[in-house]
Amino acid sequence: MKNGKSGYIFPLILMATLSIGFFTMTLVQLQSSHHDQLQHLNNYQHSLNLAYSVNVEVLSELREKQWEERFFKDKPVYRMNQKLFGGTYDLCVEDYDTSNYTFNVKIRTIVGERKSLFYWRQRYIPNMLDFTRLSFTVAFGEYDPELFEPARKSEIDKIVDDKLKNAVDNYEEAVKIAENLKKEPTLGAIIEKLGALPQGTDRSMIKGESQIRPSAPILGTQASNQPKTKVTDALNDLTSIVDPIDRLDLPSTGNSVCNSNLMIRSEPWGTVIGTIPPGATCEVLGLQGDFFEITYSGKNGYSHINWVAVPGHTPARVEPPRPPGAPPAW
Amino acid sequence: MTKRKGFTLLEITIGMFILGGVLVIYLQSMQSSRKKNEFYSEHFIASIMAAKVVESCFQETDINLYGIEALGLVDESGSSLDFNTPVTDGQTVFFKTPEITEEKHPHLYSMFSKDFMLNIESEKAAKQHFTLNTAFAWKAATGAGKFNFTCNFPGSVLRKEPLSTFAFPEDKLEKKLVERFFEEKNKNLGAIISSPGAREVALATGRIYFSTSSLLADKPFTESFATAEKLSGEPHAPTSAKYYQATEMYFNIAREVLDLILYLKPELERINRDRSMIDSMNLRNKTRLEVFIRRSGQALDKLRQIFLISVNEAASRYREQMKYSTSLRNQRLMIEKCLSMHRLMIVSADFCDGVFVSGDARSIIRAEYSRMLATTEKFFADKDQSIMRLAAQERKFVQNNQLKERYFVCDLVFQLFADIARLKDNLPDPDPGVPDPDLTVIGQASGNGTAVGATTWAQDQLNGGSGKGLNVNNGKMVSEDPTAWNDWCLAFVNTAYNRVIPELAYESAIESYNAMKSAGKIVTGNRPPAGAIMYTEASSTNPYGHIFIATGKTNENGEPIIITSGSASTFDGVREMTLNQMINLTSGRYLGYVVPEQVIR
Repeated sequence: MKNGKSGYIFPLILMATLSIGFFTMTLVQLQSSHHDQLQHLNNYQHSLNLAYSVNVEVLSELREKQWEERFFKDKPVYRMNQKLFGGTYDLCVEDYDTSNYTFNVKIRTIVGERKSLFYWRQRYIPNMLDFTRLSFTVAFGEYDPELFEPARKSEIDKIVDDKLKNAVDNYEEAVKIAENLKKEPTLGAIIEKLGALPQGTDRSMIKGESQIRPSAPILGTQASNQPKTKVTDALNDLTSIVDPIDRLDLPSTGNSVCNSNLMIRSEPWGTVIGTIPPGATCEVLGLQGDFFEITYSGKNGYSHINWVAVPGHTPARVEPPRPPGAPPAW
Repeated sequence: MTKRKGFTLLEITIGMFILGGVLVIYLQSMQSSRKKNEFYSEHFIASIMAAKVVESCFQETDINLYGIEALGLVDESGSSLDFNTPVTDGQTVFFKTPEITEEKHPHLYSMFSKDFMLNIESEKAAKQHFTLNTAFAWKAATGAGKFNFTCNFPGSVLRKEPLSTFAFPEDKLEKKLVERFFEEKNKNLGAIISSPGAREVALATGRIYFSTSSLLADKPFTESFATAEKLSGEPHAPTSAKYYQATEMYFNIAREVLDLILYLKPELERINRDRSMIDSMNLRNKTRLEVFIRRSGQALDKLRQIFLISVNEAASRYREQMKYSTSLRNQRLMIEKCLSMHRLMIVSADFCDGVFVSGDARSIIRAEYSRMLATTEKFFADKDQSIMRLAAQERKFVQNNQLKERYFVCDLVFQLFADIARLKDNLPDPDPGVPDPDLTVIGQASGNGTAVGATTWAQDQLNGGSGKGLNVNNGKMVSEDPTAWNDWCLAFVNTAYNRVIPELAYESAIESYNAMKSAGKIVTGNRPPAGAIMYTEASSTNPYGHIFIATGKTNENGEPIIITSGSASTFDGVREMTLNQMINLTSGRYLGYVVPEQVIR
């Protein structure tokens, strides 16, 4: 017994030591986990800031030259393994749809262990009236970093195309839903209508549900009540300044409106080299003074505008004043 | 054996030593863990706060080109300002709504009161954007705490070049100019206009005239004018798709017109600067070119009017859309557009001729702008501080007349409209009573029997004209012999009228005058219209009297300008001069004139 009693003390001390040791280790692990989570969160924010900063630099570079001289015209520009603000990034800028001035900016960031891919589809705004804005973001998202690789270009573009198409397809329905939701009197009613109430709850359990939603405040701007000149009147004035003949889209097809054979001349008021029968169709190539340059039956020459009709031009059908000695136009 | 009943001192000492050691480690770990947890917590909050600052900068620069300046991070020149501030009690713009106060957020307040400082350093990068280093520093239990984010934001410099869809193609311009302006074919412009300066003026005129033609030839665009006006006349709610559609149509009209007129600005400047260079051209070509310069000037003035009407309409409609919009995002978009439209109206206030039916344009424009800013500030006071700052900054720009300096398009538009006004004031043919020349008589032997034809034909006999008028009495023309019309004044006027006026078929000018006087057709006045037939009386040196033609123009003193043939005793050829100079030359008293329409048979 005596020997047995004397053996307790060390195991007890050992157990206490081990317990405290385990507890301390768990505590350290927990702290490390907190640290990792915080680092992860910071790295994400850092990645986003980095990508946004790179995009700002891309837009700065774009604004240095005009659209027609953009640095990524005709071929994608890749910049790999670039350093900025303590992070690393790969960049790709490329035209998407030049007729719509759209281009894609893909930025793959590496911050710490974290890799992210941010994708902007942007539309350049070429007109001068939008003088406070260079571009407009059509789509933005974060995607699998592996999609950055040039070989997978079509894959990521398709994902974005589909997203945009869905947004367009669902637009009307979304507007309808939003309009219907506006009619709901309380927040709870909206949540219920959206089917977002958790199971086993009803809307009376939502905090503040009894309060009626305030109607949206209205900005107190006023429509102008000043009488203004009509824009169509100004357009009519402008139209009267430019000769109708100069507003034609040539070459075009024309018709002789002369009741007799219309003369084709070698030059305006020049010698007659042929005629166009009444109502016949000719090719109107251009305009020289008061004469159309025409082609009829293989003959190139000039006929007076007063006797040839083309889209947008109603001929006067009167004999024009002619230089002394010149024969009539018809 | 009795000695072994308890623990030895050594055993107890060793045991206590081990236990004590472990406890010390444990307590230290606990202490360290508590500090670290506190630090992580502070660090986490600092990172959230920094992200909020970054987000605020993003929101600010998204709506305001001068957002970084509005936040007080840089000065007017873009140089960094000292930005080091506590974050509690609304001491910084970034944490004003809601403020971090002891009453509202006691926990945060106690933490941020521990020397928690926000420091932002701004640097303007070479590519005209700003790099902001947003840092939080505080006294943490583990030592000095620090957290920062670095991020780029768009800068204030934004310039674009006009890209007009209506620009007339350069490769077709010269051919079109030669054919249309000068009615020539297969000729280079250089063969028609030898002076390089005059050639450039002609090309500039062509760009303006034919680009305007392209705009008018675009049916969908011109039809949108009527559609916009029709829609705006209908009672659509400002939230409706049709209201939005009409607004966008006015905006698009203004956009297309602005791009076109800014594209044409260098051409306008050239015409204003170099128009005198066309004086060296021959009369026919000069006259033809002047016709198109006049039309181009008038067209630009009308484009100005269309632009301002559309901008004013768009501004008014954006205000209405903003008023009824319930989404902040949409309101921000409307404000941006609305402000841009108003800025353009403000800088164009001196050039609003023909935009408003009544009232003073300057007062109307300023009143609407001030009202819009005031209501915007009132509405967003507790909703969006970036809009408040934008509105305050806008007031400052307007008060200090800085809009032109701050927004390059405002400056361009102001210069453009000033140039248009200058051209309009100096268009060829300033006297509205002077008709367009009749170009069919240029280079002809005689006029065509009309007053306009007579005036144009007479001008064509001046130095620089074709001089192809034929004096049938001697078979001469001034292009070959400068004395062709010497002492043949009646024949000169009779040829100008293609011999269709019987009263001109007399032996002398004074006999012609007497015939006119007998018929009661003489008018005694000093403002003869273009083509008027004018007489001075016979004198001792000139017993036949004198006859000449009025141009319809007057000099700066209001004296009529006439065209007269010379004589052996005065000058050779044909000259343009004032009536007084004519009287001094002939020494004969002015008798009066005949209005051509009353005598042409």
